[in-house]
Amino acid sequence: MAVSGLRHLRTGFWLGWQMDANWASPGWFFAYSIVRPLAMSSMLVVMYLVVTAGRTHTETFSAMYLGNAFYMYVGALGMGVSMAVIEEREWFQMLKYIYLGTSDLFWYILGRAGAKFVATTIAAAVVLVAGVLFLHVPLHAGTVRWGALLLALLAGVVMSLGMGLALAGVMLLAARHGGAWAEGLAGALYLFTGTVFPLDVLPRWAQSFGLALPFTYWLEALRRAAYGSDFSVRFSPLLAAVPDAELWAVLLGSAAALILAGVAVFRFCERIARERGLIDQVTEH
Amino acid sequence: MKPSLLALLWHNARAARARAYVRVVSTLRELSWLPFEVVLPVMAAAAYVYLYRALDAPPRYAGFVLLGSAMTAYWLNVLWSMATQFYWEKQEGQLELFFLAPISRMAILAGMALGGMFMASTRAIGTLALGAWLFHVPLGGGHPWLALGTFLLTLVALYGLGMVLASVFMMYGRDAFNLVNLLQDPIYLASGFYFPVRALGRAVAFAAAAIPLTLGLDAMRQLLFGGEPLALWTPGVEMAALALLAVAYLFLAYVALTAMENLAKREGRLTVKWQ
Repeated sequence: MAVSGLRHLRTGFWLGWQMDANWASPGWFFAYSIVRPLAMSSMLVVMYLVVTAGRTHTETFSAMYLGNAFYMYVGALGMGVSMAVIEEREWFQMLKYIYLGTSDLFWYILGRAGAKFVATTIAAAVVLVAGVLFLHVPLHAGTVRWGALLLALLAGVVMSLGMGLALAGVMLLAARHGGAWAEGLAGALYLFTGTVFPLDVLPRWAQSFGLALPFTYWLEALRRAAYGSDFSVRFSPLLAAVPDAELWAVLLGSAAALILAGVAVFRFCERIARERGLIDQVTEH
Repeated sequence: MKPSLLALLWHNARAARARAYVRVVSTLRELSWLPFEVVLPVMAAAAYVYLYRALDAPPRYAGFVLLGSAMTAYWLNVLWSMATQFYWEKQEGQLELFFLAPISRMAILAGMALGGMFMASTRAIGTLALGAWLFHVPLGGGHPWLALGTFLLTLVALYGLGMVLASVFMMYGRDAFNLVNLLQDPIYLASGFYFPVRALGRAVAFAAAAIPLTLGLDAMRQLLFGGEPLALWTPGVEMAALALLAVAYLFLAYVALTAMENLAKREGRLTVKWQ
């Protein structure tokens, strides 16, 4: 069972990579993969520079840059994985053939997520390196706590994947406009987790909502691992009040809960979709 | 017998109305989309408004963000419902029907543009109204009527550009989809959707002026929120440039459509799906 699953995972990864990348030469695809994230980061940088007259040595700038770079994983895995269902079912109308060709859509979707993870990691790395080289983002190899950073990144990837799987399940039941739900969720998380600004500037009710979201703690853990434990004292006193141990407990507990919930929701929705004959529905205009 | 010019114009105007009608009806029929299409841009705008607030930016910057967010509706519509529309039509087997019909292809493009403007306007107006209420942004100050004129001029030039792109991408497959995907976010940066475009430097802003939204947004910012020290040109100059762009893009669309149609027919790619 596990060997068969891994084989499907590998096939899903390879197919996903081909679908995402084979329309262009590798060089063009690399450029394509980094232009969008670099443009979005540059836009935030320019917005920042216009107001602050060029000061980049501030906590807000460092936090904004890092948060935006790592948030790409939420978009790619949380939203991208679920959109794979819409692509396969509506655009290419191949979902039914995946069922005929492999025994388990779940592993195929995980494989597609793997391809998106690789592309996102390259893009995030390029954005972060550009920040260090050209914008004085204070990521110094000697001071970054690499173990904590990698563990936080892993937790974020697992949480995003859990969310993506749950949404992929929902997409199996939804019509073409299901994509808007994923987009809406990604947009809400970007706002309420304080990805590019301190949570403290939000209204009180929105702060409480943000504090209930595990992704808020994920971004905080990344910032502490990258810039030091006392970083948030100057950036976001609200989050600085959360002790390290509590932060990690919430983060790791949420990662475990979200991936389990994601798998359960996906399996449940998949069963319903097969029972109702929705696997090969086409709802595009 | 050859039909008169008037009969020909009437015939094509009816075709354009028919193509626009589909979009108007689909906008009103899919009301469940409207909350998403209004709330999503407001959420994106909110993140940028709070970033500016965290930086103690002047209050007019919230207005810049809101204006830019409203205009994203038109940019997304031009990209996904104009530029790639012939690609979608090909995927769904509709493109050949347009070519069989005894009408000008420009009438189809014009109908797509008019319907698209209606479609995007429902979203843009909702975004502006909700955002202005949430973030207390006054939109009636300055010269609202001149701003409205600039807005309409921007739309004509922008949808002219969309018609050019639709013609160019007609014979492409997934490359068109991916290229349009690539154009989406970098233009938010280059056209200064959320900040005064001159902050990018005059040379970059000048190059970005080929996208009508760059000039339109810069002029509307000045007209609605008062003199902006980082303005590119005066609103009058920008309106004149927009008028020139509108004429140039409509002419280019006609030339590109004819050339690409011939090329696509020669290479047999008008009905090729999933390539």
